[in-house]
Amino acid sequence: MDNSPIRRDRRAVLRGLAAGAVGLAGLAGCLERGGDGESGDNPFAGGGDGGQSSDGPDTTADGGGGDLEIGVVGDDTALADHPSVRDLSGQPYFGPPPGEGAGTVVAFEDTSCSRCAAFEEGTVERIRTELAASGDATFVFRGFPILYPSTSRPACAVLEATLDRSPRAHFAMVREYFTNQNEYSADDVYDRSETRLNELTDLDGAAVVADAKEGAFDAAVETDVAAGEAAGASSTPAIYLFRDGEFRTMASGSLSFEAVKTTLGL
Amino acid sequence: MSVARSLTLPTSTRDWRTLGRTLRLVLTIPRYAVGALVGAGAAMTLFVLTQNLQFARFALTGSGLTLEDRLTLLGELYPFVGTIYGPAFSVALVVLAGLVGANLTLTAYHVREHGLSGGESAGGLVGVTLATLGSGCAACGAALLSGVLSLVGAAGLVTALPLDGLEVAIVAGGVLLLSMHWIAQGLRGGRINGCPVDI
Repeated sequence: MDNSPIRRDRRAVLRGLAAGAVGLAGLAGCLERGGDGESGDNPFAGGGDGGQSSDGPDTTADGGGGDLEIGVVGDDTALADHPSVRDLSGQPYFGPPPGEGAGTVVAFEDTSCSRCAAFEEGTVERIRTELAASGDATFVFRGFPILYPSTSRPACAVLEATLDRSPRAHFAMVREYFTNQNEYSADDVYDRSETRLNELTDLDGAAVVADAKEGAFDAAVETDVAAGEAAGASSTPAIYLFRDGEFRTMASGSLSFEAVKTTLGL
Repeated sequence: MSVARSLTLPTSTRDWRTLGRTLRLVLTIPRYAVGALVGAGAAMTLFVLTQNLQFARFALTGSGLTLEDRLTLLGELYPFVGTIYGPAFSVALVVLAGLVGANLTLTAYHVREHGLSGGESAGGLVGVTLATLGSGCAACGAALLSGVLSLVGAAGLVTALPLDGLEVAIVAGGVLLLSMHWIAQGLRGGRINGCPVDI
């Protein structure tokens, strides 16, 4: 693991910058997020199906305007063949099944990437409440731990182990990793994940983390990485946009909700 | 002016004041001021297009988009207009684009009036290259830098960067400033727009 002083310095600098940014946002009256509470405003919190299998859409969450369908992609989808949807079966999504709504967003994200956190907070949240809950668009998450793999690769393994038990709990942990991104380091990603799994979901955090540590889901992590690389993703977030099942374009960076909506013609 | 004299490092306040005065005098000439703005805009466009060429192509040629849609999507690519870049990198990109514009206009003036040495022009080229690479780190594109570093067997080095790759943009800014300093040194002793360069 990376315990070097340089790594700790990087975290310290990032925390300092984040503190400055939060301070400015607070002054501007834009501070909305807590993040330190047990579940905070995590819309997926409470998920976990007691170990229930996650085949097909099986859980729901409040989508802001109604129930939000959450599930894993089945063997067949209505999406056109594209490298970004390679091995899509078993991947987590919310909204209508991929390709069945007008728009589909496939995002490759690194849990340690600050622009992914911005994308999650500013864009994915609005996709959830304004497009997915109404059945207009689907959001598919794919882990892409390439930037700071000493932290994000274990986090992605935990996500895969969580997904195996509950797609809703998986999205609760995705939101957790991005909301409290600076709280996670290579030193404590497993321990903190276990704690937060126990707080945010009904799952047994120790069992999930044990599976991740044992490498039981390394192949699943690698599947996403291989798909991202095949699709040409070189930075995160890498966002692939489909309309009526056909690939339209991709973007690198924290694409705004308006740009996503415009690209999808919604 | 010998190359050896012009390729010194800016070590004194006087050097920086000379650079500032040289740039200010050149920018008082309207065509060079316009050239600097165009150069800065072109540099910014280069930076953002290298990150999202496919998205830009869709914005320009995608079917079913209105003109307003196209402008919305193209605007999305630029810092402060869209949300692709965070605040720190947005500022860095604007500063770098401004420095490239200033560098280009100083270079153009020097070439037209005095010719240009290899060292002076190479500095600007290195600066633009680093600035483009720096822009690649702006969207969590440290992976891009990782790819470059991996060519020399140092891919892991990027995880040691405390500013998530902003360091490259800072180095690029330094190289651009150095290049401009060299050009300004080359113009010392002369006059720009009727005014003496030397303070």
